[in-house]
Amino acid sequence: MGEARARGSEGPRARKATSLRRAILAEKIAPYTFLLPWLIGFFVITLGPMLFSLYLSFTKFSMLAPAEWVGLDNYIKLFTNDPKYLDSIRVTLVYVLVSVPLQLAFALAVAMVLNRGLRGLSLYRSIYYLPSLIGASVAIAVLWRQMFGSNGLINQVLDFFGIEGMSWIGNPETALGTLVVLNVWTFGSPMVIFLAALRQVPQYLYEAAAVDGIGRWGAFRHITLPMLSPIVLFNLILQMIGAFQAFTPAFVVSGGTGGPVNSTLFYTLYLYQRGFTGFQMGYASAMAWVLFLVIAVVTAANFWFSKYWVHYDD
Amino acid sequence: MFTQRKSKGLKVAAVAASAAMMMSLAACASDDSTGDADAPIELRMAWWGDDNRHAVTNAALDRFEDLNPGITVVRDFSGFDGYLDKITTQYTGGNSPDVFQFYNEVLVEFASRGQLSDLSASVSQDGWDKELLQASTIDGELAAMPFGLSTQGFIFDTTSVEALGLTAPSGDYSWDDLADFAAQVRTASGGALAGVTDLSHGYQVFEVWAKQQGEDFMDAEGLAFSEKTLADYWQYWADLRASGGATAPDITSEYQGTPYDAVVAGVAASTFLFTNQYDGVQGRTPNVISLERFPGEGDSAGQYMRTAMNLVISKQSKHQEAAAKLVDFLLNDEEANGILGLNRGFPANANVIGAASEGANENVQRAIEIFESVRENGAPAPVPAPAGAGTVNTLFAEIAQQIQFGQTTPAEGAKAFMAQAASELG
Amino acid sequence: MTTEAKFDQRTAAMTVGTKQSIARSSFKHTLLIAFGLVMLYPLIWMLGASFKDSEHIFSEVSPIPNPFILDNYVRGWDGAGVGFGTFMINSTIVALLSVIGNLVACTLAAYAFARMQFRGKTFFFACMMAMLMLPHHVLLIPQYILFANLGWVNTFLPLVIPKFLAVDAFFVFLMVQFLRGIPVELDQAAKIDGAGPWKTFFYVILPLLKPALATSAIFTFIWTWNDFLSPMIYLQDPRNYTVPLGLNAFLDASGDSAWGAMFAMAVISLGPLFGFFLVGQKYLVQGIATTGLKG
Repeated sequence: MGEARARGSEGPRARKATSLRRAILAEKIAPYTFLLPWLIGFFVITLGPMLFSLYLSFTKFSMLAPAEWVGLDNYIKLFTNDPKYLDSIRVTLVYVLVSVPLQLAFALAVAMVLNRGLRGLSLYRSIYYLPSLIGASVAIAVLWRQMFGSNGLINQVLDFFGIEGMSWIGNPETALGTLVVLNVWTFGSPMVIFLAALRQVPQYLYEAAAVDGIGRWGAFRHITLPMLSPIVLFNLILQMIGAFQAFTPAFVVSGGTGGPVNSTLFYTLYLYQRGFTGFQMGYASAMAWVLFLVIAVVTAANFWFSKYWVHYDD
Repeated sequence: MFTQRKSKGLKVAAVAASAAMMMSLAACASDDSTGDADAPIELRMAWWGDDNRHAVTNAALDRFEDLNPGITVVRDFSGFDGYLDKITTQYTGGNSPDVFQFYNEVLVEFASRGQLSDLSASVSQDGWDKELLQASTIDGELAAMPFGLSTQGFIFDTTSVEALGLTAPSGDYSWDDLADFAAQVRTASGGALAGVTDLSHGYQVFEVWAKQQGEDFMDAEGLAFSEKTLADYWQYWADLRASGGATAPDITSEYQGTPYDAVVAGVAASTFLFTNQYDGVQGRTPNVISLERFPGEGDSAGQYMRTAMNLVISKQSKHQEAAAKLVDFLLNDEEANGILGLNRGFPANANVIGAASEGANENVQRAIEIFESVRENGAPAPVPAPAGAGTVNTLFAEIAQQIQFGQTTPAEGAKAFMAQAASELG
Repeated sequence: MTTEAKFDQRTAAMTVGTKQSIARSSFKHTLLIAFGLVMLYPLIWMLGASFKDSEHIFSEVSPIPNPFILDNYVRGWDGAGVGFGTFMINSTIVALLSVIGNLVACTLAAYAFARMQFRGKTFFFACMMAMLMLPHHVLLIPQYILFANLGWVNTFLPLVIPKFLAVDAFFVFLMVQFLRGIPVELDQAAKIDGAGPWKTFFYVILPLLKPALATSAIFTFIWTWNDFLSPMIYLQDPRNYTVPLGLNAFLDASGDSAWGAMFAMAVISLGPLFGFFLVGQKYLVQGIATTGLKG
């Protein structure tokens, strides 16, 4: 575009050539000026530590003594001689597959309701966001026991109806379920992102649609969802990455054990146990890089599939 | 999308540069020393605890600064969560605290890698039990000194028990007595209250059981008990679950980290704890809670004077002498112990117990009684276990839980534990 | 909230039969309130517990304090001798600086990724996404070594400087996605009018990006305010502690814990968070739709 403008301008040849070159140069350099902080951040404080952890994954590293090179030993042990590792993979996959769609659907539904059309919406939005403010705090351990423990609210309600409850957080069949609920409960972040995105949908589209008489559901299907799709993709990718790396809820609620009977042993919780409790940071780094690859593949697949359903305006 | 041919040269260069930077950083982590002897010294001490502990420790450190002009102490205090991560990370960065409070389970990991200073010459051991110090001696060096002792105990919610028309065990009672009592509580309460929390996953409880049989949980070589002892222990709890005396597995698991919370919440009538926790637990319920020794202590004692936490000096400290001075003050000074009180347990130095326990309330008096009875009639403290012991403790709880939820039997579980623990300890 | 009111009016005018709509909206309100109460139960319990004495926090199930006491707030505010106010001020400084850093650095990077063509774009974009994918527990130690060697330990720098360098890839990606929803004709129109990339960025893009900026500001504030592990490792002097460290310092998982004081201070520290959200969410709802841009 800048090139076209330069070509169209009048003036002596030489000056034209310099200004053209200058414009092209400016065009080439400009992106890097925008990117400069990120480039520094990436090359100086991110890439180094990332590569260092990659190196550590091929070593035995207790953190208290120098790392010893062991080649592929850590990776081999992961897949051939660590039943607990396979447990943690199973738990994490279930968590990702169940909690991500649930949370996103919930967040989108609430965002639609809280978008417009009612008085006092800003108050509701804030109240519904409140749980997300404490979702990761140390208090959650106690609060979740008050909800799902043997003396918790759920059991009191069940008791009212004459149903005998149990400790939902202490039972291996249901403990992971309570963490899914915890994740859905803190739906505030995707909700806020959806709300912001809903406001980007031009109002005239709805007005035109109202004239066409396509109805509410039709407007949602044909206007809201396509216009929202870049943000749906964003939420989907980020929530999936977040769920693969989920740590705090299981750590806090199970007291760091991943129990009962490893039923909440999230991948990163096990990684943390190996690294920081077991002093096997090399092994933990290998776990991290396997997870990295899995997430990278899943994310790449998401981007690839997004061609078929995400609508961009550019 | 993850590679692009054109930028390959740039990429390789950047990768190499960053990698080189990280390696050199890791290698040269802080090694400059300060030469000037009279220069003011700044020590950093780290500990975990609640706000009461922070208050008394800060007061003691203030006093230390008064007595030692030229030394200031930065107080790096925190809660328990994240404490180990912090210490380990700071060590790796060459930036550890000079003096810090530390717990038994990880002591060996640090000491066996030469990260803790030998205290045997720099801190006075006048008034200390030599056998106790042996328990903190690793590779011939006194790696740590107890910063508070405690012993095991059993608590009973006497208010609830008496309301059911029963009497809580006291004095000498056997494991069978406990089992009978627990089953009675369940029946008398119409199923609402368990007699005791299931403790089959608690290696600290099993340790006492093993010592009562003349064995031990671990010694310097590794496991120090027979498979039969463990199978019997897990069978005892299986029977208690069958009789209804013990908590159901889901409840047990809910209160796994803090079994005394089950007593506070009115879910079980009794459980085990450490004596330094007794006063705090009593403060959290209006019911009267009684403290006793373990079952089975009458025949052959298994309880011992246990290090609740340690005080250590980092090898990375540039002020070893001043650090030793601080440790000596906190452990051996009468005035310091008067300020610190019994927050961390009983002082290991017999000369300062009096100062520390002045003004103790009746709960603490009872804990002192139990502790003193163990001093007279108790088992020896265990010697340091080999590195990897922490993983074995976790394994113990894991297999016990599998038994609780019926995924394996006590006998099979014991067999599996012996094999897997041996492989972890390599 | 005037825009909000305008919308209500418009929607009200559009619906047929005002009585029906009143019945409908009160039904909606009832549902929203009931649902809100269920959602908030744990918080209500925490609020109740902050007024209970330690004898009754865990031995009683009901969230209603009896007796009602204020001691927890007094004890908690003392903040283990340092003062909880200090922790709040520290958290505010760190969180606000982080907000500024993220807004500036991440927006710039996002604009480059979303709107400009340059060599290595695909590669750098992949790198940016990769930053999100490695579990941060294994980066803790290498980063600590780096910052320790820069002499940044026990300062706010390790917590804040990375934000000015757009290390939070989450927000870069977020804004990229938002930017891609803004019609590209706007940039082109600006360009034809002779605006350079910076001018276009400041005068055309930024005003349209308000909801995304508000979202980023809100999340950055809340997440840095609540962040536990990094402050735990980098801050060594209690006078520099942030709120989560202050809360954690009430809890000794292996012995005594001052739960009442912790709950009380957790309630207090929700104040600034909630306030920031209330202010920020006003800007959330100022999208294209409300800035008067049509066709």
